[in-house]
Amino acid sequence: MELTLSPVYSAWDKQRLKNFYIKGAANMDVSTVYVGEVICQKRALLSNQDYKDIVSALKKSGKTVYMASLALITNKDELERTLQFAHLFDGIEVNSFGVLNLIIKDESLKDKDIIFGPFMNIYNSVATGYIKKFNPARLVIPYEVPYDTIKGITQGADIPVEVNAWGHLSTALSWRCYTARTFELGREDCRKKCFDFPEGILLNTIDDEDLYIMNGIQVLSSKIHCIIEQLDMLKEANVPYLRITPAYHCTADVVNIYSGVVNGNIDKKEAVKMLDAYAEHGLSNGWFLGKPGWEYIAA
Amino acid sequence: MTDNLKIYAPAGNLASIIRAIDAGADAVYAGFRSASNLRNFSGINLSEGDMREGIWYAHKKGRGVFITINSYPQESELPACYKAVDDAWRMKADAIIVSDLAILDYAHKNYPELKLHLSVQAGASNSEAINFFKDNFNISTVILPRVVTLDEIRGISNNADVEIEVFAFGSLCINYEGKCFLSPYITGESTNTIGTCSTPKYLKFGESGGKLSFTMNGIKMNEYAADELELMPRIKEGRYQKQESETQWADNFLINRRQICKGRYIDSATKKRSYALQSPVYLNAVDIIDKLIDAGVSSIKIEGRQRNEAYVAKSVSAFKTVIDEYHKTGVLSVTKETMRSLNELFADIQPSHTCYLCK
Repeated sequence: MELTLSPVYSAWDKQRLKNFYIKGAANMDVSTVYVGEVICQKRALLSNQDYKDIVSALKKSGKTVYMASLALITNKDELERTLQFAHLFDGIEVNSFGVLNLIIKDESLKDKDIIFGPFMNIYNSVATGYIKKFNPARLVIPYEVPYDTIKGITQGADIPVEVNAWGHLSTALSWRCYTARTFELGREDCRKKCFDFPEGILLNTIDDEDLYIMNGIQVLSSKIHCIIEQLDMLKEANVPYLRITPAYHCTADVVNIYSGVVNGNIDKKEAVKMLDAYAEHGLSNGWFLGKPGWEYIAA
Repeated sequence: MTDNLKIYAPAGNLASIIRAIDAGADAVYAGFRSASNLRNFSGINLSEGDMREGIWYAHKKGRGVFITINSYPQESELPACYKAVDDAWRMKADAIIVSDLAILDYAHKNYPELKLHLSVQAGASNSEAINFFKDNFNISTVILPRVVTLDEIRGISNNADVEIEVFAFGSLCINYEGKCFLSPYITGESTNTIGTCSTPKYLKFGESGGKLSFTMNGIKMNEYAADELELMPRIKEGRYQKQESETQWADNFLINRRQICKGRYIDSATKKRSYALQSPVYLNAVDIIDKLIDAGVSSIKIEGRQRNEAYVAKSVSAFKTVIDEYHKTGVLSVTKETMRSLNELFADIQPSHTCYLCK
C-alpha cells in the first residue's frame, strides 16, 4: 500500500506552493504527488519554469508526478489553459470529461498516464469497466463512496484505485465563489480574496457548531476525513493507493503517521490520537462506513 | 428564427403529466418509483401503469415523455436502473435522461434507437465534455448544469452538435450538479446514488423563545423570529389568497427553505449571520427567453417533480403564453400578471436568473 499526495485544494501563494513541493513533498514518504489547480483557474499562478522546478525536484526523489486539472470548466479558455503544462508530467488527473476528451484526441499526450480524479463520478464496477477503454492508470474513488462499493469496484474491474484517506471532504462545487460572496464581491471581480484565507473560511451553524469551510467555489467539510482505523479493510479490498490531502501546516506529520501505520510501526489507535491533534474541528469517517459524512465511528 | 423553443415540464404523478400536456408542454419528464432517478422522494414518481398511461396520453396529443434514470447507481442499484431502461423502451418513451456511464452504455448498446438525453447531473459544462458523450453514446440533447453564463452557453452551442437544454424555472440549485454533497454529509443519504437531497424525514421544527427553528438530522439550519416569518398572518390577511390552500402555501414556503444550502450560517471572516451559501431565491428566466434562444438553447426545463399538478399547469401555461407570443411577434413581452402568477408559486421569495447574465 502506497501513500500519495492529492493536489492542494486551497489557495496558497506561489512561494508557499513551490516550497511545499520542492522542500516538503520531495522528502515525504509518498510515491505519487499530484500538482496543479483543481478549483479555480484564477489561482493557477505557477509558470512553466515553476512546474519544471517542482517536477524536477520530485522526480529526483523518485516520485511519480501527475498534473491535476480543473474540476469545473465552462469555457474554451479554461479548457485550453488547464492542459498547457501537461507535457511536463508523467500523467494527468482528469476531473472533467472535457479534459479527458482533449487528451484522447491529442497525439502529443498519448504516452501520458490518465488518472480518473474524484470528481469524475465513477460509482460502480460497470462504469469502471467502461473507462478501461481509455486505459487509465488509476481511478480515484469519489469522496462519498462507502467501503462496500469500493470493494465492488476493486473486485469487478481491474483498475488500481486510490482512496481518500485524510483531508477535508469536498462537499460542493459551485458557479458561485463563496469566498468572494462573503465580501459582497462577484466571482468575476473576486480580487482573489481566497489567498487571504489559505485554510478557507469556516462556516458555523447559528448555534456556533462548525460545519463547512468555504474555499472559493468549493465547500469543504470542517471535519477531517480519516480512515486510518480502516486500513485493514482497504488491504482486504486490494486498494493499492491511499491519498493524503495536503494541509497548510501538518502534512509531513500526517504522512509520517500514515506511513508508520502502513509499515506496522505505529498502532492504529495510537495513530488516531496523534492525528486528532491535527484536526481542529475533529475527525470523521462516516461516508466510508455508509453513514453521514460528519460522523466518526471508532473501530 | 428556427423551431420554437420547447418546454419540458416536470411530473411527479400521472395528473401532472396530463395537466402539463394540456397546458402546452412539448414533453414531460418523469421517473419511476425507485432509486433510479434523482427525485426519489416518497409520495412522488410513477408506477409502471401510470407511466404507461401518461405516455399514451402524451402521444395521443402529439407530445412526448422522457423518463429520468439519472442517478449514479452503486452495485446493488444497477439492476433497478437497467430495468428502468428496459421499461422505458418497452413503453415507447421518447427519450431517457441519464448520467452514469454504466446506464448510458447499457442503453446505447441494447436500444440504439432510444434517444439519450444527458442529465444535468452529469455536469457536462463545456463543449468537449458534451462531445465526449456524443462520441461515445450518441446523446441527442444535453441539459446544461446551472453553472454557465449566456456567453458560455453560446460557446457550447457553437461547438457541440447536440440540442441544448437549460433550466428556466423552479427551485434553484446553486451548486454544480453531481458534485454537491452538502446533504449527504449531514444525512448520509446520497443525492447522486439514491436521489434524495435534504430529505424531509430529517427535517424537524422546534419552537422556543418565540423562534421557530429548522434542524436537519440534528444540525440547526435556520431559525426565524415570529415577526420574520409572518407565515400565518400573511395567510390570514389574504395576501396569498390565490393559493389553493394553506397547505399549498406552506409547501411553497418550505420548498426553498428546507435545503442545507439555504440555511443561515456564521462565517469566521465577517462573523455575520447570513445565507452564506444561498439566499432563498428561485430561478425564473421567463424574461430572458429571447437571450436564451439567441445563445442557442433549443428547449427549456421547468424544475419541480416534487411539486403538485397545479404548479406544473400554471408554470407551463405562463411560459407557453410568453414563448408563443415571442415566436409570433419577435418581441418578448412578460406581463406583470404573468410574473405575479409565477412568483406566487414560490411564496414570498425573489426570482433569480442564476448566473445566466453574469460575465
